[in-house]
Amino acid sequence: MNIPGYRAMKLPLSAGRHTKRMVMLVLLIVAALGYFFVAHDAFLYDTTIVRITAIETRHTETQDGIVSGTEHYYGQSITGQVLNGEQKGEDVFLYNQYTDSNVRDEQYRVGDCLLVELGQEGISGKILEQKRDTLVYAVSAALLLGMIAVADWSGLLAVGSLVINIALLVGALYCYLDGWNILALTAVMILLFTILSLLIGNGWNRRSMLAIVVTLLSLAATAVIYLVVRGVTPALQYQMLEFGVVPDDLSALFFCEIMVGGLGAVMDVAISLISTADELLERDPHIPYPELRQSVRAVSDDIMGTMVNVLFFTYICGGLPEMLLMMRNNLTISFVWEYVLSFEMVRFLTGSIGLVLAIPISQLVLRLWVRRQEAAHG
Amino acid sequence: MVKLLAILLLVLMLAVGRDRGLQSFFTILMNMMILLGVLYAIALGFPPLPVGMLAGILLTVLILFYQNGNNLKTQVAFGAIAVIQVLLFVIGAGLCMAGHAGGYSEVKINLGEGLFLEGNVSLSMLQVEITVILLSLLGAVKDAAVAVTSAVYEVHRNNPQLPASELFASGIKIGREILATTINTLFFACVGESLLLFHIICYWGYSFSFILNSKALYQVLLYSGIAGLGCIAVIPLSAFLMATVLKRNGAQGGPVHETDDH
Repeated sequence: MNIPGYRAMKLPLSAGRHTKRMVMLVLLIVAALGYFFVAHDAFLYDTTIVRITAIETRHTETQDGIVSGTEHYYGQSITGQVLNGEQKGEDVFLYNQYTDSNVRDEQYRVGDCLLVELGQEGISGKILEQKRDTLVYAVSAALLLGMIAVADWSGLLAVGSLVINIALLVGALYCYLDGWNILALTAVMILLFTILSLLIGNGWNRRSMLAIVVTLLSLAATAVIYLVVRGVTPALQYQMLEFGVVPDDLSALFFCEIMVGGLGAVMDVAISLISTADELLERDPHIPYPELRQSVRAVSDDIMGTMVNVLFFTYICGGLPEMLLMMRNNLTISFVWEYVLSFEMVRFLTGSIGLVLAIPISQLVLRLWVRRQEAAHG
Repeated sequence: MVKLLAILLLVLMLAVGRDRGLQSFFTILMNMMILLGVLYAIALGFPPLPVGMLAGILLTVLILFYQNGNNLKTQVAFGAIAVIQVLLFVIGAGLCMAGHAGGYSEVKINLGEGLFLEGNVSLSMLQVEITVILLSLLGAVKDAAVAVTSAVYEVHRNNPQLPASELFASGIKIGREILATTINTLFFACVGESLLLFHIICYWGYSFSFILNSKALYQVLLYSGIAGLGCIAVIPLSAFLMATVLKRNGAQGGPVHETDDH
C-alpha cells in the first residue's frame, strides 16, 4: 500500500506548473467529451426517454393554503420527442400536474428529458422521473477535477478512496439483503472503511497504524456510550425515521447510521492529532511525553470546535425541509422535535461525542507508544 | 435521550477542551437558536431565500469571529467565504432548478412517507432546498478557509521576505491536507444519513437507471457535493487573498504583527 515516491509525485507549483496545466487541460477536455456522451446516452436506456419540445400550461384551480396564502394548481400538456427505442423520433403527448410549492410534483420546462412509461397505443405515457444523469455526472466531474486541480495526487488518492468505499458499501448492502446480521456487518464495514481510507490517504506507516487504532477505539467507546444512553432513556419514534418503512429493526439500523456517519469526523480528528505528534517524533525521537502532549493539545483545541460545527451544519440542516413542511401543516414544534429534530440531534451529538473522545484516546495511545519505544530502546 | 447525550457532550468538551470546549458548546447553542429562528421565520411566511442569506451571514460571523477571534486571518477568511457563498448560491440554484431538486423525492412518494402532510403549504420547496444546501456547507467551508489563512499568516510571520507566490503555495499545501480529510468527513456523514435510503433502494430492487436519475440520489449528491465544491474552491481563494493582503500591508510598513486572540 506504500505509494513509492508519493511525496516526490506532488507537483511543486513553480517547477511543474506547465506540466500540470497541460494535464488539467487534457482532463478538462475529457470531462467535456464525457458530458457530451452522457447528454446523448439515451440509446443505453431500456426505458423510453422523451425530450420536451413544447409545453402548454393551464391554471386549473386555486386552493387555500393550510396556514396562510393560496396554492395554485396547474396542468401541463407536454409534447415531447422520443429519443430512443422503436419509436425514436416520434412525438408523444404527456400530462403533468404541479402546484406552486412543488412538494410532490415538478414544474417541467422545455428541454428537460424525462423517463417515460409509454402507453399501449404509443402516443401517450406516464412520466416516471426526470433524466438527471447529466447533472449527476456534471457534479461528480466537477468534484473530481477540482480535487485534482487543488490537491494533485493527494486529491486523486482521496477520490480513489471514496470510490473504493462506495464499492464496499454497495457490496455490504447486498450482503445485508442476503440475510447477514446488520450489527456484525456494520462492524466489519467500519473496520474496512477505516483501514482502507487511512492507508490510502497516508500510506503504510506508523502514522496510519496509530490513527487506525485511535479511530477504532474511539468509535467503540462511542458505541458503548450510545447503547448505554439508549438503554436508560425512552425509545425514539423510530417508525418516523426518514425512509424507515422497512420491516426490520429500525433501532439497529439507526445505530448503524450513526456509527458510519460519525466515522469520517473521528478519522479526521485522529489523523490530524497523530500526524502532528508523528512529525514531532520524527524530528526528535526522544521528545518527552509532556512536550508532545502540549503540541497535540494546541491542535486539538482548534480542531474540536471546528469539527463539531461541521457535523452540526451537515446534520441539522438536512432535516429543515421536512420540519418546514410540518410547521406549514400547523403541527407544533414539539411534534417536529419528536419526529424529526430529535433524530438529527442524536446523530449530531453522538458523532460529536465520538470526535471529542478521539482526543483523549489519541493522547493515551501516544503515551503508550512513547513508553513502548522507550522500553525498546532501553 | 437528546438531553442526556447533550449533557455528556458538554461534560466531555469541558474535560477535554476546558474554556475552548465551553466556547464551542456555546457556539452550537447559538447556531441552534439562529436555525430555530430560520425555521420560525420561514414557517411564518417570510421568503426562504432572503431568510437563509441573512442567517448565513449571521452564522458565518458567529462561528468565525466568536470561535477564532477578530483578526486579519478571520477577516480575510470572511471575505473568501462570502465570495464562495455567492458563487455556490448561483451554482446551487442552477443545479436545483435544472434537476427540480425541491420537495419529496420519488422514493419517498413511492414509500408513502409523510402522507399526513398536505402539499398546500404555499411555500416554494425549491427555494427551501437551495437555502438548506447553502447553510449545510457553512461549517466545512469555514473550516478550510480558516486553516488556510492561518497557515499563510504563520509562514509570513516566520519568513517576512517570502514573495506572494510562495505564500500562496504554502496555503495550497496545507489546504491539500484539510481537503482530503474534510471530503472524507462529508462523505461518511452523507453515507450515514442515507444508509436507510440505500437500504430501501436495494430492498425494493429499483433499477440502476432509475436510481441514477432519481431525485433522492440527486438531493444526497447536492448536499455533500456542493459542500465539497465549496471546500475545494475556498482553498486557493483564501490562500490568494491572504497572500495579497499580507504583501500589500507589508509593502506599506513592514510585516504585520497581529496578536492572536487564542
